[in-house]
Amino acid sequence: MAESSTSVRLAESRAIDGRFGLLRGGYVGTFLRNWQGLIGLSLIVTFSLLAIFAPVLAPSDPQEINLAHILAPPAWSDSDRGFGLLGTDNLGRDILSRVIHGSRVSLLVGISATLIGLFVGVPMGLIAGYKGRPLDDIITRFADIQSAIPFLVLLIAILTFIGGGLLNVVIFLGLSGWIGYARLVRGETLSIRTRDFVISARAVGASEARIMFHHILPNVVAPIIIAATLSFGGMILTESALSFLGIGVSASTPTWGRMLAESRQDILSAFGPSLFPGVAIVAVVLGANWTGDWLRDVLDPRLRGSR
Amino acid sequence: MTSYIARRLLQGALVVVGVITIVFFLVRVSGDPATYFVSLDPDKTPADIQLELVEIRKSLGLDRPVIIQYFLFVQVAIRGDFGNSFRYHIPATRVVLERVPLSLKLGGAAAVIGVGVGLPLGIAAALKRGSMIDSVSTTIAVLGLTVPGFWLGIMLIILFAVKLHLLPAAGSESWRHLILPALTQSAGLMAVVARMGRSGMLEVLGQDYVRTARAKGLSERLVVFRHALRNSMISLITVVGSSIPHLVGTIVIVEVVFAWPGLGSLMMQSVFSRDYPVIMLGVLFMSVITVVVFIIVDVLYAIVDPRIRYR
Repeated sequence: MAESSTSVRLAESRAIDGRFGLLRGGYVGTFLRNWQGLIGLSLIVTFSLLAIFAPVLAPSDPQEINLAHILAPPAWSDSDRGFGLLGTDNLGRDILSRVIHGSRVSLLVGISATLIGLFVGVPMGLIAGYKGRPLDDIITRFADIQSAIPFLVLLIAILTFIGGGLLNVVIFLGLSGWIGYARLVRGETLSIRTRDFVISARAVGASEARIMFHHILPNVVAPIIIAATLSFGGMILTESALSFLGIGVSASTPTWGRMLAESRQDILSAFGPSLFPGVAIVAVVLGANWTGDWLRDVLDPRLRGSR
Repeated sequence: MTSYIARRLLQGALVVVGVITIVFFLVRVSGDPATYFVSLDPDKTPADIQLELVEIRKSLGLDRPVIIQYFLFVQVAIRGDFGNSFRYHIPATRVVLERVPLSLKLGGAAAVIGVGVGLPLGIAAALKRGSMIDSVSTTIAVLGLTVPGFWLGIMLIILFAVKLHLLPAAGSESWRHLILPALTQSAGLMAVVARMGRSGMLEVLGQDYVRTARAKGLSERLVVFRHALRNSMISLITVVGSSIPHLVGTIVIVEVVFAWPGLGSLMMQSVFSRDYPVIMLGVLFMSVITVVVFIIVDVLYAIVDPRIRYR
C-alpha cells in the first residue's frame, strides 16, 4: 500500500524536469510550495505532540463509558444534548479524547514500520546495486514476487492467524515496505558505483562494506529520506485499514480505524463518530505527503525548483 | 513482439509460482486451522479434544510435515484441483470462481471511472494551468492519495444513501448498487492518473518536437492529441502499473464496506473461518490478475514507446 504512493511521487519527480519551474512562474510557485510544506510539517508536529502528551491533553479518559451521553453531538453545535468538543460515540466515550489517543497508535506504527522497511530495504538495495549478479538477481526477483502478492490480503490472513497486536502489525507492515527502498537504493547505487570516488576507495583497499555504507550510502540519503516520509503516510493508511477490519492492535487501545469501524452501525443517527477519526487520518497523511514533497524540493538538488 | 510477450508471460508464471510458495508457507506456519474446527461441547475432556484435533488434522491433510503438504498441494493444484473448501465442503475453485466476476465488474467499473475522469482532468489541468480545472484536478489528486478508501465509502454512504436516499448502501443486485463502491474504488486510481497525466503532459508540452509541431502551424488539437498525448502516456503507464497491487488490496476493503459479495469479501470470510484452500486460491487469483496487468502494462509500454520494443 505504502509503496504505490511513494512510487507515484518518485516517478513523478523523474518525469518532471527543469522547464516545469519556468512555466510555473517562479516566485509564486516557490511560495506556494513552501506554504504547503509548512502546513504539512505543522500537521506532523501537532499530531506528534498530541501523541506524546495525550494523557495530559485529552479532556477525559478515552475509555470512560458514559451511558448518559450516548452519541451526543459536539457541545458547540447543540447546547442541550451536546457533550465534549467533538461529541461522543455509541458508548458515550469522548470522541476528542479518543482521537487524541488514537494518534499514538497511528504515529507509532507509522514510524516503526517505516524504520523496519528502511533497515531491510536500504542494505538490500546497496547489496543488489553494488555486488551485482547473482545477488542482484535474487533480490530483484524476490522483490518482483513480493510485489505481486496481494499484500493486504496476506497481512489480514497472517495477523488473523497469529494474532494482531502492536508488535506483529509493525513487523509485517514494515516488511511490506522494504521493496520501494531497495529499488530506489539499487538504482542510485548502480549509477554511483562507477564514480571516481568509489573507484579510489576501492583502490586504497577499503572493504566492500565500508564502500557501501561510508561512500555510497551518504550519497543516497536524500532520496531515502524523501521516500520514507512519503511512505510513512501510506503505513498510517494501511494501519487504519487493518484496525478498521478489526485486525490491528488490541481492542483496548483506541485507534482511528477501529473508531470508524465502530461508527458504522450508527451512521443513521450520528455523523460525528464517522467524521472526526477520518479527518484525523487525512490530516496526518496529508501532512506526511506535503512534508515529503517539500523535502524533495529542499533535499534533492537535481529537482530543486522543478515544481 | 511475440517473443517479448512470451518471455514476459514466462517470467510472470515464475513470479506466480513464487507467490504461491511464499504464501503457502507463511499461511501454514502462522496457525493451526484444526483448533478452529473443534466442536464446542462442555462435556468434553482435554483428552477428547486432543483426539478430535488429531482426527481433524488427518482429515484436512494437516498431519504431515509442511514441506510434504506443499508438494502434495502443488501436485494437485497444477491440475486445477485446490481441494474442498473447509467451510462449504465443495471444491474451492467453485467457491472462488463464483465470486470472481463480481470483483472484476467492480474493478473494471472503477478502472473506467478512474481513467475516464482522471485522464481528461489531468490533461485539461496541464493545458489550462492555474485555472479552476487545474485546482479541481490537483485537489482530487491530493485527496485520492490521502483519504482512506473505507472512510470515503462511509462518507458516500452517509451522503447518498442515508441523507439523499439516492443510491443503495450495500449489496450487488442492480447497476445502482455498483455506483458507490466503484466510485470509492476508483478514487486512488483517479488521483494517480490525474496527477501523472498532468505532470506527464506538462513535461511533454515543453519538448522541442511540440514546439516544432506548433511552429509548422498544426492546430492545437493536433499538437495535443497527436504529438503530446501519446508521449505523455509513458510515465503515466509506468505509474498506473505500479499502483495495481495497491488497487487489488483496496478492493478487499471496499467490498467489505459495501457488502459487495466479490472475491475480496470472500477472502475476509475465509480468513476468519480459516478456510485455507479458498485463501490459497483467492491469493493465487489476485496475484495472477496483478501479474497479467503488469504484463499488459509492459506491452502497452512497448506499443507507446517503440524504442523499448524488442529489449
